[in-house]
Amino acid sequence: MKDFDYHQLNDIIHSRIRLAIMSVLVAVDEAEFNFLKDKVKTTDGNLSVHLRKLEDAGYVSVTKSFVGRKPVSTYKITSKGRKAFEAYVENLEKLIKGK
Amino acid sequence: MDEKQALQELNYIKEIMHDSRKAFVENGIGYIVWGILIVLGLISSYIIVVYNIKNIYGLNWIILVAVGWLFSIIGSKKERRKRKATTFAEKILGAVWFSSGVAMTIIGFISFTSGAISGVFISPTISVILGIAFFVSGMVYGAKWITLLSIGWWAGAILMFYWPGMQVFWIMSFMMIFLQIVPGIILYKQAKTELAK
Repeated sequence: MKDFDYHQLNDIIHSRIRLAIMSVLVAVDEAEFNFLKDKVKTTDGNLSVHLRKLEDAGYVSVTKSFVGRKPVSTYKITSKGRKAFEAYVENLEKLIKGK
Repeated sequence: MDEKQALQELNYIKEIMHDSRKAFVENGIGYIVWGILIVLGLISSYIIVVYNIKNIYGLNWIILVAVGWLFSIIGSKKERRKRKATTFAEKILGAVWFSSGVAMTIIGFISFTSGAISGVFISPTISVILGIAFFVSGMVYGAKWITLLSIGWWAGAILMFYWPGMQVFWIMSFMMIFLQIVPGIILYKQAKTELAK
């Protein structure tokens, strides 16, 4: 495993919380903020920061709406995000296989 | 990062994806409600035909199908409001059952009123559509037993096409109970157990 360049791992995804967010959004088509919070097991503030980073990278998109009077943010993975996630998983697999 | 960490990371991804997919659990209530409504429709149609009550023929189906659609529309709106995430599988299933429902409604009412399909052949035609819907649903859920229900629907359709008559009411009712209501009850119990975890 000497020749694996860890720089190949996408820095934006390579964080425990952002990886969790991306994994959730790959599994479901779209998810509300509270669903993500529940799955990722983090605080509102922390989740917002990481979501913003993913949004800035163009990996997730957000739709804001109202359910009654309550504002709801729904997140979705973009095609750019899906490709980046797939490449990330592929690199992890390469690392395991020792390529 | 070494191999061990990479493996841990991959397992973490798998675990979180598996857990998130559980956001969608089919509760079977739609199967049960529609199954009961159709059985009621078949029994009432049988009574109408046997006692030759021509002036209300078709009215029973209009009422029952309207109740069914009302239940489905209100139910899906409520469910959507409650649900915090939507899976792609859920969208596919929603589309399959909605389009099948529309197709069955068209066959049931429009074909019958236009005379394009004789009343006795409505049930086998609907069975063919239900076979498709159950086949796709089983594939999407990854539940072989649901996929296999489609064989029952298609076999029943063949039987009713070749053997038309009053027995069609009973064959279709029997199929509706054992190929839709009972599976609906099984799904309901499974969903309850899954959500309790």
